[in-house]
Amino acid sequence: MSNYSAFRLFVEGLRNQTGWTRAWRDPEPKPSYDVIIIGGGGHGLASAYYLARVHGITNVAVLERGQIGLGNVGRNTTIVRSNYLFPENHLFYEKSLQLWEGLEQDLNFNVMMSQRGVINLYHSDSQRDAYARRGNAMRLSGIDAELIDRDQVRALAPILDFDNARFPIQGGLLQKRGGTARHDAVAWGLARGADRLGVDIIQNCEVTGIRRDGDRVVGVETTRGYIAAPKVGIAVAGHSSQVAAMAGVRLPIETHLLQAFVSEAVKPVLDCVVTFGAGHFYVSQSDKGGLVFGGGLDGYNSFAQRGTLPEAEHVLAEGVAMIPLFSRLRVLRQWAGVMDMTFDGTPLICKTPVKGLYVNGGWCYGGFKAIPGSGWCFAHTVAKDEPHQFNAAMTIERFRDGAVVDEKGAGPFPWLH
Amino acid sequence: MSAPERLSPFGPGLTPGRDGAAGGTPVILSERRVDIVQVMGAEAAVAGLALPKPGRAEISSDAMIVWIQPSAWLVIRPRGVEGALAKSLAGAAGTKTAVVDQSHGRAVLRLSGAHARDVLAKGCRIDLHPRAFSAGSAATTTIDHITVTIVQVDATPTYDLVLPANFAEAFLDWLGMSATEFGYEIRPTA
Amino acid sequence: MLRIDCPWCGVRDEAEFKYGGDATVKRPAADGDAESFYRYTYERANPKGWHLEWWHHAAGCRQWLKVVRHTVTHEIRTVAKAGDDVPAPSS
Repeated sequence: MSNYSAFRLFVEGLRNQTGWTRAWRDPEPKPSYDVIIIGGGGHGLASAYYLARVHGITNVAVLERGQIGLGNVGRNTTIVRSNYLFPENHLFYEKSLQLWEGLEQDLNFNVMMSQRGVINLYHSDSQRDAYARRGNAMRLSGIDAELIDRDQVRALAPILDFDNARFPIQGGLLQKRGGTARHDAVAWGLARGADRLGVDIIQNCEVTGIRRDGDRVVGVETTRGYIAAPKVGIAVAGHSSQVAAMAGVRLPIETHLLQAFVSEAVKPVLDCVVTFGAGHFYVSQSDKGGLVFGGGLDGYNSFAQRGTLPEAEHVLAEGVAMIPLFSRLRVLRQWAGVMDMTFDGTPLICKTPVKGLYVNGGWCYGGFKAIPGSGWCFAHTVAKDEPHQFNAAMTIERFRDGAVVDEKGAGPFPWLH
Repeated sequence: MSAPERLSPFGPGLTPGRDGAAGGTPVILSERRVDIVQVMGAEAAVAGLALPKPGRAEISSDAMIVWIQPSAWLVIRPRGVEGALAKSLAGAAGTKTAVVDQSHGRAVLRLSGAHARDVLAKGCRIDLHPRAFSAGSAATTTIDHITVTIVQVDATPTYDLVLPANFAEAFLDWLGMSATEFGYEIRPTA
Repeated sequence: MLRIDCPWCGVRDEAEFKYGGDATVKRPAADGDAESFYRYTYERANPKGWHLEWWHHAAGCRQWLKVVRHTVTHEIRTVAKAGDDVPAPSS
């Protein structure tokens, strides 16, 4: 399969688009692989891609129960950023953002990465101080951050309600390198990239069991037969508990609902990502013109993949408080994804008590921005049987040892992170 | 020196007069100036008081006793000498009964008229149809994000709404908007 | 929108309640070891199916309730008072 390029596009235009071939193969599963990755979402595909790309392990299968890209990678609000407070998160998310910056060249695929800037608004002196602290922490780790005042925010996003009676905007924390990417394109680009390096992407292949020999994993039972592998990685966020339980592993994870919304398309009104400081709300405008936005969890364990009205009302009320023109927009689509919520809001990329079994999950609602970093770190963890420095903190043991990474300070309540 | 007159927690929004749609039957709004005392305890008993069952209120001409949660009731009477009601109830209460004066913490708004139910229905999540809620019924719920205890006083229908005093003005804003289509008349404080 | 049939107040909307999490976990004795407290605090079955959970009727009667709810359909099968013995459902 040849590279995509402007020249190629031109040539295909001359011959009536007849030369395009499928972007990735549809192979039958082999009896065994060196590594099996369960889950063909963003994280699973990225893990397989970096196993092949960085570690030269190409005898890899990605097993997806449905079709790739139909889970959370196709259900998010597409925001990419690395504006965290804690050093454990700096290491990881900054690596991820750097990978995003080179992803299109690396994959030879347009993932529509748009570094349009992410602003976290502040509405009070104490919130400004908290953002100053976060921004300074980021800069100490070499990550770009700027504390901007009200006029600077106004220049970037004039449609905000700066004089809201309850939540007047005083300024914001800006990460210019943050932005958005095209969610589906990320899944497709990674699938094509992994496939080109020899990875088998096997769709419609649901894992029904994980076979162990003592304390070691030896393979997986699937709806398309048994497949052997000395190493198995789980990347099924939303269902991590269910898949890990197949190997007898219990995780510090609960599954919760997160809704997302898209408005009707309007002319360009917002060319950066903005998050509300007085509530949990974030919004950007897609290239098609729809405002893409979301808020907090529905708040109770659920696998339903559909949100309910009380949280929808809450999110829309926040939207109107921040951007008054929201009250005149119609919501075009609303959907929900199932989130792996850990007890400190930080993910797991780690080994498990079962030898050869690795877990990549607990993404809460920060999974999309983490895709390349997660795949890169998980590939390292699986290939070397030990975590990279970037994901060294993201273990199950941190809960046992009291070394939780609780960015929000919400305590051991998954639905509050 | 006598104590200064207490200000209404509803603020200037409750000035007597007529507002909203003209014609038709307006709903009648008025503040009730009352003393409110909470009586609480698993074996709560107050001599001379009949404590109602869950979801019910005992209503007489000069007093109201409202169930608010298991083992807790509000005793509501027209305002008298500051602290006197709580003192007298404490005197009559058994040893396993806690008596707490809530007069400053709560406000009571009376809402009456043929459209009173329609006004509440726009923001109230519970069923106020006479089949489900009638004179002597009491329920705590939220309206416009504000916790409110609704007591139905008679079949007019007339409701007494027990509100947190610091949200009284905010609640009145909502109520005014909801009542505008029917018209409403604010009467002097009872 | 969930509708929870509060044993004290009758059927009420989700908006009146606060969620309190998995009600099957039991706090270990005070002299329990670190492992037992880890399991109590952090490990969850996270069932895709019936789930016994706490709800607090925060804007109603202020009582904690035990609810058996299905995590896929959101159907509610049982609502009981906090002190009632509700067996953990099998998913």
